[in-house]
Parts: sequence; structure tokens; C-alpha cells
Amino acid sequence: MSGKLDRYQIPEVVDHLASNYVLGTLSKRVQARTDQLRHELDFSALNQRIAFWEQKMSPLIDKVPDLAPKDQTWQSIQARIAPQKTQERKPWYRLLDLRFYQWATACSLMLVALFSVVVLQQPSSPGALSYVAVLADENQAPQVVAATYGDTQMLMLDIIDLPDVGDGETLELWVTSKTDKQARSLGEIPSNVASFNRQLTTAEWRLIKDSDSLLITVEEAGGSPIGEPMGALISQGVCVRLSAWQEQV
Amino acid sequence: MSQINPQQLELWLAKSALGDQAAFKQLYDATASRLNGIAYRILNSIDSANEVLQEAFIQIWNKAGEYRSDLAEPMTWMASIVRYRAYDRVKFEKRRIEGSQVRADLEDFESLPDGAGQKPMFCEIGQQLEGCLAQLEHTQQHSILMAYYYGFSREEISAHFSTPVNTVKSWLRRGLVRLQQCLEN
Repeated sequence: MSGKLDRYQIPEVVDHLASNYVLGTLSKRVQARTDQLRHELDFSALNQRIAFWEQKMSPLIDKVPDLAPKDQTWQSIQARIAPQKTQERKPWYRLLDLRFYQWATACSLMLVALFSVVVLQQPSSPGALSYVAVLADENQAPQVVAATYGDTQMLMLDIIDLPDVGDGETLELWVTSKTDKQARSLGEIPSNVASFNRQLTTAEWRLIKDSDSLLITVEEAGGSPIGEPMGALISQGVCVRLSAWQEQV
Repeated sequence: MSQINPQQLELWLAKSALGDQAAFKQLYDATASRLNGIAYRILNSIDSANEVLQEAFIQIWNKAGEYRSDLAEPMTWMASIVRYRAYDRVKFEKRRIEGSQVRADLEDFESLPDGAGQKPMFCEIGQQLEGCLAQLEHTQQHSILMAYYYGFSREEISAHFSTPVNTVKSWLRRGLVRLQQCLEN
């Protein structure tokens, strides 16, 4: 490691990394390496140069017009920084990952139903689990848990195990409607993340409320060009509405 | 746009680091519109900007204790968190502001002086930065601003200028070296 680090002692190299990091123009690989140098190796010379560039370029952001955020945004933040709520949510998925590998989808849903009973026994709150789907591959191995809480319209995906996709490809999430059986896009799923939250629009939230199941397909980068699943289906699961929340709406 | 008091922001950040949610809410109320505007400028989507803002504030809450006032002003630190998340998001989404809006927005860039003797119209940015940007060649200046403001990748800048990516890399490298020399004087 020290040999590799040597070149990062050269001021020109450090400044090249720092300035392009602040501009966002590093390649993915170099950016990941720079993040590692910053956070894991606590490379203070690099951090200082990044701070230099951030500060020197900062007058430019004063030119940007303000834009009031949605009310929902603070509510979602608040829900996630409340300590007890965070602790309630996380362990459940992790247990799924370790104990129920290659469970049949039906078994996964039974577990969800069991969880919903637990929710039923607790006082209702806006943060209660409202919809959940366990998406599994063709061998019924769980790959993604998708959930919403209350009526926050925040879709939270916990990625258990998704396959890598090639360059120029992406994973796209779909919801199928109970009413017309059509699949509609809920957007792309980022690669290499353990979890992903997506604020749903009102129209997308209606789709969740009318959902039959969720699907993930491999599509070309940017998503299916026709707005319908075109690529290989890699994961799917029935969307369950939990009665604990149902009573509140 | 009103100026936000850095000392007050520092205080709220310090309290947030200790788990004070009321202070964090005050910090949010004081800065969220500005930060959301920055995210929106890069993402050109209200929904995506709000999602990035949300994730950024979760990160600010978790990392408030790492803020160092000797390295950056609080707004610079928070805006950087938002920008980096927005850059990641725009790369992931591969979504780009389209033709007419790019052209309209680039008129701002066109108003930057290309050299001595022209009166800068982009006069609200820091005097030192403005002066240093003005010394850059047109293509260097625009490449830097397109990347910083809109999260354009090198490939997107090359497409915009119909020039090879290596040329854009060269513009960025030379432009940033000249900018650095100027900013440090």
C-alpha cells in the first residue's frame, strides 16, 4: 500500500484528483479510489486540497436559485433520524438474508404475514409498515425487499443479492396493476448499493396501492425505451398490503 | 437570496452532532431551499432533487461531528455533500437536461468574460474566482462550469462540443491548473 500511496504524495497528482473530484469529472474507478483515500485512509493532504477547491468554487453556488423542498422531504428525513424507528426496520431484512436463503416465495410471504401480525400488535403510527414485497429469482432466492411505511410515499428497497449487469444495461423496477395487469416503471435501481430509497410521486403511490406484484428486469441504460418491460425478468414478488396500515386509511 | 449566517449554521451543526433534532430542523429550514436548488440545477427533476436532498441531510445528520470549520464554511461543506450525491445520481440516471434548456443555461456561461477588457456580467460570483475564470480560454472555462454546475461528465461535454473526450480532458486539466495558480496567488 505504501508504494501505491507514494504517487499520492506528489502535489500535482493530489491537486489533479482533488480538483476533478470537486468538479465530479473523475471516472468511477478513480472516484472510488479517491473516496477510499479520503475516508478509509484519512489522507489529510488530499482532504485539504478537496476542501480548498470546494471553498474556492463555492461562490458559484450562490448563483443558483433557491427551490423550496417538498414538505414530504423533511418528514422522510425525520422518520429516518428517529433512532427507535431505524432500529426497528433494519434487523428484519438482515435476518431474511441469512436465515431464509433460497426460500420459496410463498415462504417469504408467510414471513411477511408473520411480521404484519407483529405490526398489528403494536400501536398504529404513520411509520408502520404499509406495503411490502419480497422479490425473488427463479430459484426463489430472495433478492430485494421493497417496503413502504405509512403513507409517506417513500419506497425503500433493501438489496439482498442482485446480479451485476453489463455496461449499457440497468436494472429497472416495475409495478404491475391489479386492475389492468399492466406493468409500469418505478425507475432504475442503482448498482452496488445495499439499500435505496425513492420518493414516489402521487401517481406512483396510486400504483403501489393498486399493485399486484413488483418485478425487476434488465433493460438498456436509461430504462426501457418503450415504457414496458422488454428485457429478461430476473426477480419478482407479490406486493402485500398490511392490514395494520390498512385500518388507518 | 439571503446570506445564511455561517456561525449560526456551525452552531446548529455542532448541536446536530450531539443528536439535537430541533437544531437539525433549524439547520434544515435555513438551508434546504438553497441546497435543493443546487440539486435541481444538476438533476433537472424536482423529485430527484428532493430525493438527493433527503439523502444528503441524512448524511449531514450522521456526519455532523466530522464537520471542520477550519477547512470549510458550513454551507460549502453541506453543498458539497449535495453536489456529490447529485453527480452520482445524474450519472446513474443517465438523464440529461435537454437541448433548449442547455442552450438557455449556457447563455450564462457565454456572459463570462473571455479575457481582459470585457465587463463581466456574471458579477455575483466571488471576485477572485470570477477574475480567475475570466483568464481561462473559452473552452476550458465552459468545461469547468458545465461539470460543476450541471454535473456534465467528460463524455457529455465532449458530445456538447463535438470534440474527442481526450480534448475535453486536456481542457479540464489545463484549465484547472491555470485556475489553481490564479486562485493561490
